[in-house]
Amino acid sequence: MDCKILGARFPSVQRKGQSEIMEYILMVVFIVAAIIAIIIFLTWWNLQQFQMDAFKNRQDRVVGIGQYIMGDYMFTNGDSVFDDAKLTAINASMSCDDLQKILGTNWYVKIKALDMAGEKPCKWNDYPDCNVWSICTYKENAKDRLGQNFPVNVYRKVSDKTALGVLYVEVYS
Amino acid sequence: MSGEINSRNEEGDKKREGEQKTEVVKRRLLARIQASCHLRSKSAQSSMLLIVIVIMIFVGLAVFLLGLASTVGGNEFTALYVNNLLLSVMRTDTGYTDSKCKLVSDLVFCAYFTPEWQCGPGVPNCLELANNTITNYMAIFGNATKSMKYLFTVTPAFVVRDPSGEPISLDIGDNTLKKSKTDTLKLYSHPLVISKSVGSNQYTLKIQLIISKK
Repeated sequence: MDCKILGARFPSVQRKGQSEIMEYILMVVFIVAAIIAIIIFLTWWNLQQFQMDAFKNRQDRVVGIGQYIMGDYMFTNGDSVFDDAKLTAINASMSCDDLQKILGTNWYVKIKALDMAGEKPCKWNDYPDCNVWSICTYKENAKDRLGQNFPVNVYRKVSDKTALGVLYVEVYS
Repeated sequence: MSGEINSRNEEGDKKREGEQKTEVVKRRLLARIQASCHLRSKSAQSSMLLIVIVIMIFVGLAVFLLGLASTVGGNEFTALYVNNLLLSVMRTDTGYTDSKCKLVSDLVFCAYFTPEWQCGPGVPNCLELANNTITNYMAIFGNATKSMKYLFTVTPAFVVRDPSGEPISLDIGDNTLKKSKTDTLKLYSHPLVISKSVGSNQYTLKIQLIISKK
């Protein structure tokens, strides 16, 4: 109900009070919604940070294992040049456990020379007509896999040529 | 008679004065009510503005944090990747026995200083062979991993400039990468310096690789 004051029309005191209450209710609803939104956002942000940290740790591990293998004279002739004879010998004589003592568990490495089509695993009988060396076994059911490829060279001892290759390092949990 | 008239006039004046005073009070009251209504609407406007500003600050904060999250990580891996790729390609054998063409780096050297040299009978000249070999190796590597845009830029350690003032460089790969600003993830390798003695002279070249997502 509007009321007349000195001939002019104004909203009644009751109506003004109602609109003020509505205003406060709306304000409270908005503030509560904003607080809930902030809580949800911060929780989501924390989860994202955890996931990112976990990913970064795994990626650091992949890079660490890759750098170790690329720089170790047990596998290479120098900086990232793998020797196919050394790789074949390691494949035949060393077990994964020996390397896991140095690099920890839950990883898998594959070196592939790109001078042949397809993939032919290297064993004593196949050498030098082969192009893939695997260190430790690939696990089918492993979780949280992260793998990266690194460009490398593979030195072919028999033909005395350096071929382009790929080092694949994978970690899992 | 005249006294009666005078008293009536006085009464009329008083009445008019009273009416005028009432009118003034009425106007003042109306003005106050209107002013208070105006103030109320202004305060509502300012609180709305405040709410909009707070929302904008939150949205800005979220966008900033998300942007920060996407740029973190992967730097060490990408640096290792691009540098290893350049080194690996340059150290790979070409399959030719001529000392100017044995490795890809020899071929690049030959293509820069003696582009018309032929590595064997019936073989394309050094410049063409360097282009073909690098393109072929990058395609093989791309098939084994994932394909990407690439550009090898070869410049001498001493600065040689063409008539327009630009340093003379040999570019192999996607030339658009050199000047493109639209490629989001453009990675540069460290320059690889290779030296070679020809006769009594020592020549030095700097090779850099730029890669980007396709």
